[in-house]
Amino acid sequence: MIKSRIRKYHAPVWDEPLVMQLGAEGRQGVALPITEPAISEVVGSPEDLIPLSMRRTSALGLPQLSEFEVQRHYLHLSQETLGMMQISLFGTCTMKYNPRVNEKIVYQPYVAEINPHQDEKTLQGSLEVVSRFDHLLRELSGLDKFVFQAGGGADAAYIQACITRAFHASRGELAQRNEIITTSQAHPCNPATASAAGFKVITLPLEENGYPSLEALKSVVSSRTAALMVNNPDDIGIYNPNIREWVEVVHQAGGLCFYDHANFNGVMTRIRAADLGFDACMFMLHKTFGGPKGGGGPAVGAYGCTSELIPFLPGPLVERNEGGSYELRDAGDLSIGRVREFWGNVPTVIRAYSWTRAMGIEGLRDAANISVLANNYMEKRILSIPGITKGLPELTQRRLEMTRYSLGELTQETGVTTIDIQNRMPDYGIDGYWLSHEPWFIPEPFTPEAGELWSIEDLDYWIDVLEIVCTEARENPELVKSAPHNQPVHQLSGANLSDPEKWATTWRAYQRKYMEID
Amino acid sequence: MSKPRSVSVGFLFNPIAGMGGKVGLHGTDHDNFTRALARGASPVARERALRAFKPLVAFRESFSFVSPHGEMGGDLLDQLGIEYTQSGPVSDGKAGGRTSAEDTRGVVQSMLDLDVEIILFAGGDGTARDIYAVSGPKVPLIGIPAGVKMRSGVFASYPENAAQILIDHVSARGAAEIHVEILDAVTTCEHPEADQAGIGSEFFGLALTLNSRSLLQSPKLSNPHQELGVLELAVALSESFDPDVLYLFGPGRTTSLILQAAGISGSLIGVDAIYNGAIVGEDLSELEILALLESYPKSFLFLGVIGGQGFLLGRGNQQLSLPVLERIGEENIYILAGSKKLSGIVPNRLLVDLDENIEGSFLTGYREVHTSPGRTTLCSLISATGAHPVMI
Repeated sequence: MIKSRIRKYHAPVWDEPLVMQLGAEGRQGVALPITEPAISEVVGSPEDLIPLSMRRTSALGLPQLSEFEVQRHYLHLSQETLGMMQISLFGTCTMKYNPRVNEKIVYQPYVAEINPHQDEKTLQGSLEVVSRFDHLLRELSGLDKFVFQAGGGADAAYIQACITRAFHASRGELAQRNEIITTSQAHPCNPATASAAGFKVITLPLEENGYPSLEALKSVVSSRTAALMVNNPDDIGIYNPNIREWVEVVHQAGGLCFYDHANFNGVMTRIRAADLGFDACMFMLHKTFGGPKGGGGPAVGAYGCTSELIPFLPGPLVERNEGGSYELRDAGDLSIGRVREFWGNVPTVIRAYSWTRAMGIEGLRDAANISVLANNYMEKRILSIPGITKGLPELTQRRLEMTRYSLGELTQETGVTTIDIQNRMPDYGIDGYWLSHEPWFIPEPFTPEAGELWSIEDLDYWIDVLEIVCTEARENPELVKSAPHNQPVHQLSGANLSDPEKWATTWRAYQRKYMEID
Repeated sequence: MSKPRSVSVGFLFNPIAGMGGKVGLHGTDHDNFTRALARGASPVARERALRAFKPLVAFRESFSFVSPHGEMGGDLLDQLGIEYTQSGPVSDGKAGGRTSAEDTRGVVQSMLDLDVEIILFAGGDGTARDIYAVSGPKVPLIGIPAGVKMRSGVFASYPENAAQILIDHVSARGAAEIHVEILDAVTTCEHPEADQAGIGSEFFGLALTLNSRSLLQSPKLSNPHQELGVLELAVALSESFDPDVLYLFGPGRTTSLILQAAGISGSLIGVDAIYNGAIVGEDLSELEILALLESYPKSFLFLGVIGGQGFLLGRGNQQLSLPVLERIGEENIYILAGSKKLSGIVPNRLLVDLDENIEGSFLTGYREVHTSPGRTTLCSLISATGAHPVMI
C-alpha cells in the first residue's frame, strides 16, 4: 500500500560538456597578487627555484575558466546526479549524511594546508587527533593499536594479508601456511587480497543456517591454515553466532583471525573483535563513521590488531612520547612497509573522530539499534510487495542491518529484471539500490540498507517507489525495461565497460577514441 | 462432491534405460541399445525403480496405479505386490523384440484416457521426451532417475525422492504444479549439423511437475561461455602434468579445457585418458578404465560438475563407478568448476548418485572444488541414501 505522496521528478538536462572542453585561453579564477618586493628579494624569482631540467617546455594542457564557470559546471553535474542528497539505501555501503560541521573543521587551514613533510612539531594537533581516534577504536574493538594508512576497506584487508605473510614468515612457517579461509558472503576484497598476497583461498559456502557450518570450517583447517578472513554479519545481514568457536578452531591450528567490519553498523558497541578472539579487524571510516564516500571524498580503512601483530604494522606510526607530545615513529624491521603514502587521509580521520565524539557511546548504540529496527521495518513492508521474496526465506532468524531480497518471481512473471528496476527507481528522484556481490546465488537480487539516518518517511517513500515500479513491471514492462526516462541520459549499454577500446578514463584517451584529435 | 479416495498414478518403466552409462555410451536410445549389449551392459533401471517404490509400499492405499502389463511396469508392480489397473497397448516386447518409443507413447495415451492424475516413470531424458510428446503439460510428470542423461526438470534428484514427492503430495493434497523444461542432449543423428553429439541441450517444451524444489533436480544449465577463472585454471593444469601418470578426464566442457590447453582433442562427452602427453583411451567404458588402471599404477582424475543440477557422479558419467574411483584414490581426484556455476547450484552441494552404497566412503562429506588458480570453494557431497537435500 502506497503511503507517500509521490512527487513528480525530472532531472535537469544540461548536456554538460567535459570541464576540459570549457573556458578559453587566458581566463582565470583567481588573480593572485604580485609578490611583494621584500619577499622577492629574499626568495628570488619563482622560475629560479625550479631547475632548468625540470621546467616544462610547453604549456600545461589544463582548461582555463573563471571561478564562476567552475562553480556552475560542478553544480550542473551535481544536479544531473541527484545531488548526492537524495534517499540512498545503497546496501553494504552504509550511506550516511556527512555533517557540515565536520567539513568546516577539515577546511580549516590547520587541516587543509598541512603537509606531511612538515616538522612533526608543527603537526601536533593533527597527530593528537589521529592518536585519540586510535584510542577510540581500541575501545570499540578491544584491540591494541590502529593505523589509518589504508585508503579503503580493501586496502585494510590487504594489510591483513601482508601481515599474515610477515607474521608466519617471522616464525619460519610461511612455506607451510599457504591457505587463507573465507566465506562466500564475506566481502570479495578478502579472497582477492589474500590471493594477491600469494595465498591459496578456500571459500566456505552457506549452509542450512545461512552461514557455513563449524564442521565445514574444521574440514579445511589444518597446519596449512594461515588465516581466517570473515565478515559478521555477512553481506546478507546474517550473524554467525558460532564465531567465537570458529576463531578458537583457527587459533588452535596456528592461524590468524581477521574481522572485516564492513558491516559494523548493526553491531556497533554490541560486539568487540578482541572479545570474540580476533587478532585484527578493519573499520571503514568513510561508511560507518560518518566520513564521505564514493564521489564525496577519499576513504580510510582503519586497521587494528593485537599487540602481538603491532611489529608488523605499516609505518610510520603515530605515537605519544614520554614528554606528552606526538611523533611519527618508524615501524621496525618486521613491518610490512607502506601500503599508501604517509599516515593516511588525515581529513577523513578527523571527520570520523569528530563524528564519533559527537555520537558518544550511547549514540553509537542507538544508531546500531535504529539501523536494525529500520531494516526490519523495511523488510516487513517490502515482503508485502507481490513478486518479491526474501533471500534464503527458510531462515527464521532476523536479519540485522541488511536483508537481501530476490525479484526472481517478478522476473519470471514479467521478464523485468532487478537491473531494470534499479534503472527505473531513479526516475522517481531516489538512488538505485545495491544488487549483490558476485557471484549471485539469489536470483535477481537487491540489497537495501536503511542505516540510522533515514526517517520513516524516507524509508516509506523508497518502498513506495519500489512498489510502484513493480506494478509498472506488470502493467507496462517495456516502460521499466527501457528506463531511465527522467534522467539526463537514457539507458547506457554496459558492453562498453568490458571493451578496453571504448574506455576513456583520461582526457587524452577520450580525445584519441572519441574526438579523433591528433 | 466427495473427496477422491486415492490419487491415480500412471507408472511407466523403461527397462533398458541407463544401460549405456557404464559402458561409455551416452544414452540407450537409437542404436545405442545394441551397442550397449555388445559392450556387456546389464540392466540398471529396475534396481533404481525398486529403490523409488520401497518407501511407496507403505502408502499403497493412497494411490491407485495404472500401468501396462509386462516389462514396462506391470512386472515390477507384481513383484512388489502392488495392485494396478492395466493400461495398454504395448507391442509384445516379449516376442523376441524390445519395447520401443512408440510403445511408450501408446501407453501414455492409454493412461490419459484412463484419467491418471500423475505420471511416474523410470528412465532418462529420452523416456521423458517420449512421454511428454503425448502428455504435453496435461498431467504432472515425475521421473525416477534411471537413465544415462537426466537434464530435464521432471526428475527427482534421487530415486527415493521421487517417492517422497508423491508422499508429500498426498499428505498435503494439491501441491502446486510448476512448469519445468524437457531437455535432451543434441544428437548428431537428429542434428547432423551439430559439431559433436551430447554437448548442447535441446529444448522440447515445458512439462508440468509437482512443486517440490528441494526434491527435484534442477535442469542442466548449459553455458558455452567458460568463466575466466576456469580457463586460467585449465591452462595452469595442462602445464603441470607429471610424467608416468595416467590422467583421466571426466566428461564435459570444463575438463576438456585442460586437454585443449595441452593441445589434445578428446571425446568431450566421454572419459578420456592420456599418458605422457599422448591419448591412450577415448570415450572409455568402466571396464576399459579399470583395465587402464591395471596397466598404469599412478593415476589422476579431473572431474567437472553439471551446472544447475550439481551432480558430480551418476549423470552422464556412470562409467566412473565406485570401483574405478576407489582404484584412483581420493587424493588423486581433482574437481573443478567455475565459481558462478557453483553459485547457481542451490543448495551448494554436489550430488552423488551411484548404484553402490557410498555411505562412509570418501564420496561423502566436504570436498574442495577448484574454481581458479589458487582458489577453491568447499562443497559437501551428498549421497542418494543421505538426508534429503535441504534448501538454503
